[in-house]
Amino acid sequence: MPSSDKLTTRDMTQLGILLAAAIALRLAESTVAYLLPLPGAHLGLANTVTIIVLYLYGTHRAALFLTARVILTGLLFTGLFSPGFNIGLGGATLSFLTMAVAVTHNWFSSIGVGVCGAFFHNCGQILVAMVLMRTTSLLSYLPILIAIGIPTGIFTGLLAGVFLKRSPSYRKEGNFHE
Amino acid sequence: MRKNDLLLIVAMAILGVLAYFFFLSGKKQSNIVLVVRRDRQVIRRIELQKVRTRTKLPIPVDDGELIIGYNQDGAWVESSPCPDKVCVRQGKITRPGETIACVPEKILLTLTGTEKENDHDAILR
Repeated sequence: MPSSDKLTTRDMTQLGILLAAAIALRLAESTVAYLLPLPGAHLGLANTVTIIVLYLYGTHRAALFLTARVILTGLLFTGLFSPGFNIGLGGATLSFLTMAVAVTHNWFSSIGVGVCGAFFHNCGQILVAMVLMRTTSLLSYLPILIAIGIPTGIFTGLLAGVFLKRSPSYRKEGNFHE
Repeated sequence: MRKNDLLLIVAMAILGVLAYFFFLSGKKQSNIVLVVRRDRQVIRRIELQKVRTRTKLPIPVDDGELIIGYNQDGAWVESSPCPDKVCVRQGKITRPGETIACVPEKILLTLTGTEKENDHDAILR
């Protein structure tokens, strides 16, 4: 949770570094995307960074962080407000909302948060695609998306947990639950 | 890992299995119809049973031409001018209920069983 409401230079610097890391990871994983069985699927390493930011900086700053990430990824890769961008935006928004609620209420460890994020990211993407295409037949993607979302969600959440356990600013507050 | 994490994972897995049976449990049927839509309009309806050879079907889209391929047991997107090529890499669909969507080009391929098509006596527009 944020210790104060004011965004200090230190916070901004840290968030900036994490933002750069998230975008670099997004780029890196798109080059190994062919390893996953579904085209267009990602491991979600960028989401690991979002989870870390959620735990370390709280909902408001994480929302700011994710907005910056979505806009930058849009500018760099997909183009702003292209169909691909809008689908990603839907996924990011829905997954962020559920992860923020899950973290705030401390329902899960970072693993559960990762699984939540992966699942609702997929749901958000399908919803936007369904609106764009005006069809419900895209729901047939749901089983495979869930099947991929569970292991990738566990992986990204686990990774975030490993990072948080080693993060001094997080351990200090004594709120890490195994 | 906490107990809640495990519960969540199990719930997701069950949801996934249910979704599988709900959307994709359609058995291999002999008379599958390939429905091609562009911007919500049905532009082609092909009974795959009657298809003898591997066929390529070019469809004009905003950015050029999207080429659909089909044969007796399924359909795929051969090539597309869209940027991400998700539709092409999805490969072949063979079962009723399966879908390939190319969102940038607004093309939708669906396979349906023939019984479903007979629900309506007529469609008025």
